[in-house]
Amino acid sequence: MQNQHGSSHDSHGASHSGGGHDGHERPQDDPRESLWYRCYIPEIIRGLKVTMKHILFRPRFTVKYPEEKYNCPGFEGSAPGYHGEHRLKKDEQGRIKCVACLMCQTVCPAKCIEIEGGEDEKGAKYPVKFEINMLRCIYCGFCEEACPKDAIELTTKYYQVSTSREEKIYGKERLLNN
Amino acid sequence: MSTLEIIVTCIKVLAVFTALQMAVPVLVIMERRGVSFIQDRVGPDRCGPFGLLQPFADAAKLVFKEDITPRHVDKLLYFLAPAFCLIVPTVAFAVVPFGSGIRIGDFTLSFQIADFRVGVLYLLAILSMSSFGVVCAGWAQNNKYGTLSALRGVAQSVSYEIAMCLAVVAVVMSTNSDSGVSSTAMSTIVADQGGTYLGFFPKWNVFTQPIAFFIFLAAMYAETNRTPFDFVECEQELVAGYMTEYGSMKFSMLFMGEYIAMALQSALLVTFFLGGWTLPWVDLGDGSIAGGIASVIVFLVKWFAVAWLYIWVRWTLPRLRYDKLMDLGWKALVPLALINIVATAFVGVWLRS
Amino acid sequence: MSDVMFVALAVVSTASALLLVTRRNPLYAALCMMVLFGTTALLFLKLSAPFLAAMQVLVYGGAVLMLFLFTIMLLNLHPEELGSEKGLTFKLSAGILSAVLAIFLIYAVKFSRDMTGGSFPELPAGSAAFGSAESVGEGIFDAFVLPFELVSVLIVAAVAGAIVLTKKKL
Repeated sequence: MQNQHGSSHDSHGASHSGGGHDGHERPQDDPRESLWYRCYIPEIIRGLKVTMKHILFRPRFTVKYPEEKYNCPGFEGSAPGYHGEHRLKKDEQGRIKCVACLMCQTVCPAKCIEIEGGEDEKGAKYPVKFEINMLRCIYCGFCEEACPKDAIELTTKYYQVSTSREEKIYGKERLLNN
Repeated sequence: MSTLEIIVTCIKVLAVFTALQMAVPVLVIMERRGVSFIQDRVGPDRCGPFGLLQPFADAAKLVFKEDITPRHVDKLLYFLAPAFCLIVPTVAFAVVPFGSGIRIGDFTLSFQIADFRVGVLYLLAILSMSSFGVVCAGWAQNNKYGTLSALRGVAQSVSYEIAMCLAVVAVVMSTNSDSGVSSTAMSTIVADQGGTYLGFFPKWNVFTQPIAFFIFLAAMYAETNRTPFDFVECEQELVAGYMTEYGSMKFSMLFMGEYIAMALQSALLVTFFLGGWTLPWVDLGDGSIAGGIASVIVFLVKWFAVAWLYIWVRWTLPRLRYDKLMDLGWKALVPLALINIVATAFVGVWLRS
Repeated sequence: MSDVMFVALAVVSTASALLLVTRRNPLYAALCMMVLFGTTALLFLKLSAPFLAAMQVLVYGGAVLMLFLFTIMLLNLHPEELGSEKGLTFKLSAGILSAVLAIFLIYAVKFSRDMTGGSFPELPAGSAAFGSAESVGEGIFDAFVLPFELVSVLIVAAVAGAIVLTKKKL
């Protein structure tokens, strides 16, 4: 208390000789030293005008979520770079691109991908089972980077609600349809 | 005092108390929507039309929370403090005239609970106790944040109370009391502001006592611990100050006390400087039913405007530095108020001679 | 009715005064002090001195008590710093001294009553404004303006003295 008082006294005395304030040097023509500024009221009215401008004229940034979806300008319906739910891709002939190489399962830091490989009648490999546990997934996108066939990617879907834990383990069908 | 008067007074007390309790949700929703508009947001708009029921939802949430009493607190003061915070500003409302009055036969229903001859002094006396609740709460919770907050609360309210009292003294001095009425009665101060100069200019004290008005305005913010003087509960420094250890209903009582104090100070500013329930161009004090109701509406409109100013300033200005607060109080407002009193005295004598 | 009120106020104020001097916790003592000031103000109000009542609360309940609280908080004494309980001899002598003082006071009241013929004098006739803000103001600024100004000079001197004593550098 005593100290605070002392410093305030000093600063007051020094401000007349254009000196420092709490160790910080202030130039002599600092607008904060003018009587106009120290009256507070004109500056307060200026501030009130600024906030009134915000009330009356500025657009609201709020997105009323369930009714309105977030729309990033230029990327309608999605947020660029956002890591959402995964999707398994198909090639031109409608076959699943994945060859069950287990690269993504290996690289996954959360160990949430479970793949069982199989072969069709022509000997082409495909995943019999492709499950992602969305409760474990940390949405790092390593699977997307690791995939040699460009078969898995992270979409921008962010609405991920389910009513049970079992529902959160996404199977092949779910991932293909994403 | 006849039985009828006692019954009428009891009803008035109940009505004013209820109105004050209801003023809190109104102020809360005003503040929450107001701040979100200032910050380019929308604010709570889900609960009821335009979010008007949001404060009631908040209140319900607070009521149903578990009421925890920390083990290290001073029990008596811990329980006493919220009550004190709530009671003091409520009691002070007894002398605030919120309307002109209705005359029915030879009985006058005045819209004021008690019209003391020393109403202004009663008000200042009650207001001087207002920081005691903060002190009790801060001390009772037995931690550093609370104690620091209480310390700041006392220092701040003692400093700004002086400026506030001196500003009010100038108003009392400029109130005309020639016709034998006491100029320290609230009703006289309001009645004196009715009418106009030169037929159109309102006779409000804000025009005759502009310096006192600004001093009162500044002291008002300091007394209710609102930004730019919210040193008592500044969350960056003191978590929540004297409210830190409170939860559930006790917290909501402290919160309500704060908002009722805000409502009280707004009402006082209206009464002392903005003409109270009077309208400059129309005489609302004629005792008719229409006049009485209109006067209450006029008072409420003015009250809302000042309460909005409270909120508007809070979300515009940053907090002052602590030494600047003391500088402003002691080196600017108090001397200014004293000069204002002397000037008022000289002008008053000169006008009379 | 009036007597019942007086007795109730007197009992509460005396009890709070006793509690004020016996509490070890300074904040509780301050709380009792507030009750004491409040009841004293109500007694003044009953004696038709509204100005004095308001001043009692404003000056003592507001300013003085707040300064006390301020000091209590700044010192922030722990229970062990409050010192040990005083001994029995000390308490006994203090009790006897206050009893003597009380007897003197009661005797003084009785003496003044005897002087006026067994009853307290009624208020002078036509004194509706007795004790009001107006009459006190007239007394201070009209009849006793010189003593009042002298007292204010004394207070200014005291304030200046306090500042000289506490400030290291003026």
